[in-house]
Amino acid sequence: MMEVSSVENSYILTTENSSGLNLTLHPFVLINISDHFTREKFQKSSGNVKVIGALLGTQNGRAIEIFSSFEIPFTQTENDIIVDEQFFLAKQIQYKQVYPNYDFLGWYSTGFYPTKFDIMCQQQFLKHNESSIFLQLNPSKIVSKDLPVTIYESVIDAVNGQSQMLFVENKYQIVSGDEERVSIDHINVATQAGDAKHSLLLTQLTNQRNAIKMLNDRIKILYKYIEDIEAGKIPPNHEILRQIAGVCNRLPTISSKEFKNEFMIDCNDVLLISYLSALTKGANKINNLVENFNKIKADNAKYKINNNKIF
Amino acid sequence: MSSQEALKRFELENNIKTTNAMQDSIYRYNKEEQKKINDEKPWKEDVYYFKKIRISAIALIKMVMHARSGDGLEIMGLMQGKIVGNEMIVMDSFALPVEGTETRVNAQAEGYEYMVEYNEKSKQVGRMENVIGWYHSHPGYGCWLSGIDVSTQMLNQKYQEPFVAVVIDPNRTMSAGKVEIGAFRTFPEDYIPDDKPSEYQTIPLNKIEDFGIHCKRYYSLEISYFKSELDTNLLASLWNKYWINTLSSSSLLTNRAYNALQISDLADKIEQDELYIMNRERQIEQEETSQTDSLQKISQDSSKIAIEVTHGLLTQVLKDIIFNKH
Repeated sequence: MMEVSSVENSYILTTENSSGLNLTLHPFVLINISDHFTREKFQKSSGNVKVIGALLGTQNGRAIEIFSSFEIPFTQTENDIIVDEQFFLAKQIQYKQVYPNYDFLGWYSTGFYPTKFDIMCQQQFLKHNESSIFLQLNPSKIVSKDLPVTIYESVIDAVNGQSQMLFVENKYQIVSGDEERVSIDHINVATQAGDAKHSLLLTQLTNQRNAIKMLNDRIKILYKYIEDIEAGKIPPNHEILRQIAGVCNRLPTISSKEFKNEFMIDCNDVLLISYLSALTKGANKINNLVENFNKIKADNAKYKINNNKIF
Repeated sequence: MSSQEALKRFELENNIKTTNAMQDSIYRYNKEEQKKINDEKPWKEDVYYFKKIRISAIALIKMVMHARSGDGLEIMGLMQGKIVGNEMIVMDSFALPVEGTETRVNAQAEGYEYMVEYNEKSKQVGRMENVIGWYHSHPGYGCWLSGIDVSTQMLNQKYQEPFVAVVIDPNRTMSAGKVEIGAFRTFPEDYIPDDKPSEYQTIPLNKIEDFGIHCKRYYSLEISYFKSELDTNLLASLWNKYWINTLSSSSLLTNRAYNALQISDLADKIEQDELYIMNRERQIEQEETSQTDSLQKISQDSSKIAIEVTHGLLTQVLKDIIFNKH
């Protein structure tokens, strides 16, 4: 058992990452990799599938945002792996035409932990971006609380007197654009066209309630933590306590007079819109009534004229 | 406990079909089978042959994000997929490097080279499906085919069958909080469809004419979506990090410009109606129905705007209560 774990970690540097890289990842990229993997799995219909692709996005100083990705073919033999560089370059030019702002940031692959093949790939990608990052997705079925995704940077370190390339794990954040959120929500809800109409309010409210519930759950964890410290069950960690105090002190988040004023204006705008819409609705109803009334009256008049003629 | 429970309830309430390995087999591509279908051309017999369309998660997200990135301009791209029975399956989509101006998307020449190269590259990485349709965006004026779209699609259906046209409205998507999308196929030129009214949707005043002339030339397909098992797992874990986005976004702010546009369009429509009524009073009794009809539509539209902004306000008020009260 010991041996297994040491093999697993032989390409990872376990020390704290001090590069200060600020990584943000869009969910779209994850879905893209997932699609690539699923497709490959069924095309080859063999158990052991590995996919490789490039990560695209923006880099601003130490802040990296991964927006998109594309697939790259490669050839793997028993002890070598070669990424199709020509394909990669050609595809990158294609992407530049549609999304001129996105640069090549690094690459992705699937697997449980970094292997020597990943080191080889990393060396090939370093030619194109000297600080390229490596995203590994674990496609096994375990549904854990965390995303099965790890992002690494590479460093050169001395191991047994020899310099060797190692991966250092990096923290990342998930962010999504509004359009990304709406479309992912849409997929998740998987609504049939048409019946979403009736449940628009319901979906809206359920979304809100779930989000608030998540917030509530997290606050409860913090609350429990403080309670336990007070009861002396666990030793206090001052760093965490400071952070909790920081969060508490931020409430109320915005309480300035200007904000209240703006908020009131917004409220009134919305109320005005609802009012106008109610008026329009009323006008429509009255119009219908008048129309119907006129019709009956006209019919009656015709009837009378007809009657007069007969008699 | 919390997140999984929340997600489970969310799924339950929204009636989500759980995916399984069987459903994943949709990702397998059978070349012979597709070739056989292509040779038989069953769609020649029946103008209504294709009734449904299924779109993969990745294709939908790609299309919506691309449509949104156009920022008021029309964008377009192509979809790759296959045929199963009378269903069209869209596996993936990609953007074309062309930008159109209003209702004037025409990329045939410029995008062609890009398209061929892209399709070839896709095959190298296991995306075997051919192009089976195109998509473009109608920012703010709804999902339907304009006159130019109809002729483009007719041409495609003549020479590129099987082919489908998808339209996405990124502005309405953001405003309603759900993806506004339509999939269409045109009728052959000599075909006269049954006179059944299409589903009502809001169309801005300056587009109504274009819509009205061509709306009988095509029909829409029923859209559904699918995702793989791994997608499902990823989305489940994603939910853990996701709620922050739900709380931090404000639809009132993102849609301010669009809402203003909607209201001014409505004002124009009312004004037009008023003019019409005044004229009618002089001429006395022409048609009775049309005016009632248009007022009805205006009232429907205004209710829709009101509902959407009220939803936005609801969110804001909730947040105000949580974060700003002492």
